[in-house]
Amino acid sequence: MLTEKYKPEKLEDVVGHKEAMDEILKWFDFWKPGNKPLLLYGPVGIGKTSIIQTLASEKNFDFIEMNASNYRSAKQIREVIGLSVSQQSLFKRGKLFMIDEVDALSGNADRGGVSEMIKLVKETKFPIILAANKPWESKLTSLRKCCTLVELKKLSVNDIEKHLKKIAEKERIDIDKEALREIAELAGGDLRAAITDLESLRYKERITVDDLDVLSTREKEQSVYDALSKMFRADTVLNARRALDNVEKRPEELFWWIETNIQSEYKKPEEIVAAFDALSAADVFQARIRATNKWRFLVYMIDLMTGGVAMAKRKKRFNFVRYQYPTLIATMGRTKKARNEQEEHLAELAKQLHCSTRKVRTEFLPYLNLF
Amino acid sequence: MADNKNENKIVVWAEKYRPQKLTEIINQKHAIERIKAFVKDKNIPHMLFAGPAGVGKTTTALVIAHELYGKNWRGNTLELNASNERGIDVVRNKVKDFARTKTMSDVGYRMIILDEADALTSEAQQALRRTMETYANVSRFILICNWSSHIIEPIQSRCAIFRFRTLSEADQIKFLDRIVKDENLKIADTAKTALIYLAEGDLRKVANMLQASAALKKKITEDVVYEVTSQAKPEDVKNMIGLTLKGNFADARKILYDMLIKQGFSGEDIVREIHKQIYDLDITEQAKVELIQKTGEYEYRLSQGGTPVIQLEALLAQFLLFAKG
Repeated sequence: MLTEKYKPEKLEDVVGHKEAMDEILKWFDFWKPGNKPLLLYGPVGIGKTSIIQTLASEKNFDFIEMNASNYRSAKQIREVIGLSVSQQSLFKRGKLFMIDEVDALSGNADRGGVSEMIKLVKETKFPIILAANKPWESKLTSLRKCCTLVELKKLSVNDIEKHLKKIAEKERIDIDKEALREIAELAGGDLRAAITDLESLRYKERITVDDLDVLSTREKEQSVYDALSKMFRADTVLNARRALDNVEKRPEELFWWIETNIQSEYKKPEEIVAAFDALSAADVFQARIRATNKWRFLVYMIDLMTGGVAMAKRKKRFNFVRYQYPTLIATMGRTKKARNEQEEHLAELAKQLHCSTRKVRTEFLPYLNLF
Repeated sequence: MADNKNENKIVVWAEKYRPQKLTEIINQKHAIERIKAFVKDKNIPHMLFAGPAGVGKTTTALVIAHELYGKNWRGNTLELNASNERGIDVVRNKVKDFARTKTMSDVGYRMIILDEADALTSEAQQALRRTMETYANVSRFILICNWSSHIIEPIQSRCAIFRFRTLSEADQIKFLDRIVKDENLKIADTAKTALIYLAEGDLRKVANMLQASAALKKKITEDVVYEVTSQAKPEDVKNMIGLTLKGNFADARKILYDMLIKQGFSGEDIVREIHKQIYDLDITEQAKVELIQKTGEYEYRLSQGGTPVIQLEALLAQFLLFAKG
């Protein structure tokens, strides 16, 4: 595997992350028992683990890596490494612990999870580095507070491209300049994905842009925009339904993506009418799920909101459509404060006027604004 | 909403001129006579007030509380509004908490006023009926609604029913004149006639329109009254339909979102306003019939638990079919 082979050996080999590296070194060099652990966060595949591995080997520390998602609770982690954490090593060599994917720790389900981890990092005689993709989850709040946070940002396309080029040269992989750039772009900041993609194409004598189609058809998490396009352009109900299969969003949310983009996709009145009628029918099934608690009705809701909306078209379209973020979600976020204030205001008026807030809105407000 | 605080300070005439005694209530003699007798004996049954808007139902209920408990009326009265409370469970819990505490008066029971009771579903009313039974020894209910037929029979049979009648023109003028006198207003007779005509028997509307007119001009004429009502009319629905009939669905949709999300109107309020406006649209009568049927269809879906944004958008889209140009 090229990803293993080209892991950085020295800290200066690390791709990108100049500022973060300085912070990490500062933390490490001054660390003594009682100091805060390091919480390293950032998207997948940008080198969190390999940086720490390199750090350990350069500083001549034993590197001990654990993955929080492999353990049901921090208690188990504690049992596994508890001894080595609290006791001085028999050997002179220090130890550097890395606990990856702390966001996988059970938060609410197993309340002990996070607090156990906090206890662990406070007692430790050795430096511990925690790593996470999403450190802002609320269950990690208390843990976050007792850590020094360092962010590793997504790698730039340039950084990835440079690194790929180096690997390609060393491995004698013949690849077009454009193709190389394309792979770097496709990776979306994930260096590991980029190297894997490069490796998967090395059987070719010469890699050109045309060969990259293979990569995009690989089932990555699909962007919702692409999925919407596929859905709207589908020729059958089944294909429309399947278009959304690989989007990591719940049907209830996708519903609002579709709602907003009916008018992005359709221009003919008959199409808009038919699409909204299907969506309205889907909505009725959504209400039925709520009313009866029978999730069986979800299949009808999804069929109608995907297939029903897609079959509203009168002719096939090939033009490019810029799909939009759901209006509802955007509006709710933007107006939250104003709405709360208005609700409070209305409730107060309703109390004074001995009537419902609805009546205040419909009977009083229109006049009240004129008083 | 920057002027929230100022609005709070405004004395709303509809509230200021709300009667404080049974004798001040305009007309409704048949109901008031019976109620007087109940209040005198401090022995009131559960009551159901039914009748159109703005004729004195809520006022009568509040006055009863005043007369029964005097200054302590607030401590002995629970005012609930069925269309405000989310679900019967909320109503039930509030009633439970309220009924549990001992009464601080010699009346022996406390009063629960449930306004807009016809907003409760029949299932919720069944639950309410049990609640009424449970707390019958420590509390009396006054249920208020527009249509007594919307209240399930078991509740009706437990209540003394009072029908509040539409007020005559003379009655409304009486109310109007009281405000005019107290506020020292200058108002033309034709303006009074216009107010009464536009208020459709609703004294709350009379007071609101009068106050808005007085704010607009020192001397209130017929024109001022019409100016006020046109300003107070929700233009949004009209504009929304207008845009759709011009084929501009995108902007119509923006207005819809604004009304529902920002202004917080209910789906029902909007669909009803849409229905009212169909009659006056510049489309064929056949088209109106079709749109009315569609309006009914989507209002039904709404009543089945449909999401307002979705059902109204679907309805609005139907108007596109009759767009010109």
